[in-house]
Amino acid sequence: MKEFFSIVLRAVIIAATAGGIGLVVNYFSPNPLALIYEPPIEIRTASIAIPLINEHKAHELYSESAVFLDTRRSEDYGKEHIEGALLLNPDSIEDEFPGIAPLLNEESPIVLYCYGPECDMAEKVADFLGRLGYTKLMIMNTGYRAWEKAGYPIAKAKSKNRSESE
Amino acid sequence: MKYIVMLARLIIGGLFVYASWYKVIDPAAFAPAVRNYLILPPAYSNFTALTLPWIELFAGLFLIVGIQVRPSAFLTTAMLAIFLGAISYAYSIGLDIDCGCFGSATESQGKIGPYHLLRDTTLLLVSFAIVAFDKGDFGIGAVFNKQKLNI
Repeated sequence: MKEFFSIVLRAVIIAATAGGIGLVVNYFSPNPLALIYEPPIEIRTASIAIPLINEHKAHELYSESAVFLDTRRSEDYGKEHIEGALLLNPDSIEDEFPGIAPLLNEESPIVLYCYGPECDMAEKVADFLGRLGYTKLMIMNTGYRAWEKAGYPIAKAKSKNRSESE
Repeated sequence: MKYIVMLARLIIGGLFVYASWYKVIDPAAFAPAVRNYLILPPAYSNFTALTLPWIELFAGLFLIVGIQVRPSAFLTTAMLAIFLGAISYAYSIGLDIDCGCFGSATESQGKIGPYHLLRDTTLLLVSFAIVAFDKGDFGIGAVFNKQKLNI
């Protein structure tokens, strides 16, 4: 047991030293990374500046009947999506937009989401909508999984047939 | 047995050095991979991306050259256990993400799946075997010990 604690202690010292070297190297780096990550509050596309919100703020807007647009692949939307969300994928936006345009209001909040923080599909769709004059656009950049993890309402396909029909 | 342990050291050490290198060079590209797992609060993702790769690098190098072998193997075992837990969690909730195992999130290495779980489990067992069976053979530590004995 004493030997085990000795191994653990030495491992902790190695880890602390190595991690410390990493922090020192970052400190002297020409482009140091902030130790605490702060998510951006908005992104600027070619057409408009769009606020970024988390899943909790999005849920507040959901309660206020904002329109939610799912920008993920259609097969993933078919499996599950935020309850009431409409599909608008950037790869098929020209085909899908005419079908959902009547449901969108240029003055009403529209929340777009994708898979997670690093997915840029919501950004592409937001840019498209911004060019068309939609002004109250927001991106839930924490993504669909964060919404699901928070336990907020989702719609799941019950069978293959149903997912195809969706 | 000592040859098997040496081989295990070279395999685990080499893999950790290889896996850490791109993350050490570009932690900003690795940080999004940490955030994608949705396990740590996003605020700590940069700190993790700045420190974890260096721990991987040092533990890997120490295993290869034979310095502090068992503590280094303990570290690689602990890290593999954490990675396995993270990948299992992400897989269980269906996260559609790159594993970020050998590089940044921007370089696609395939989505996480059973292959990653099997690979990490195997590496975990090999790494644990080093902790359990290493006797200090074949390394700088062994050379120093011999010199002390000769004196």
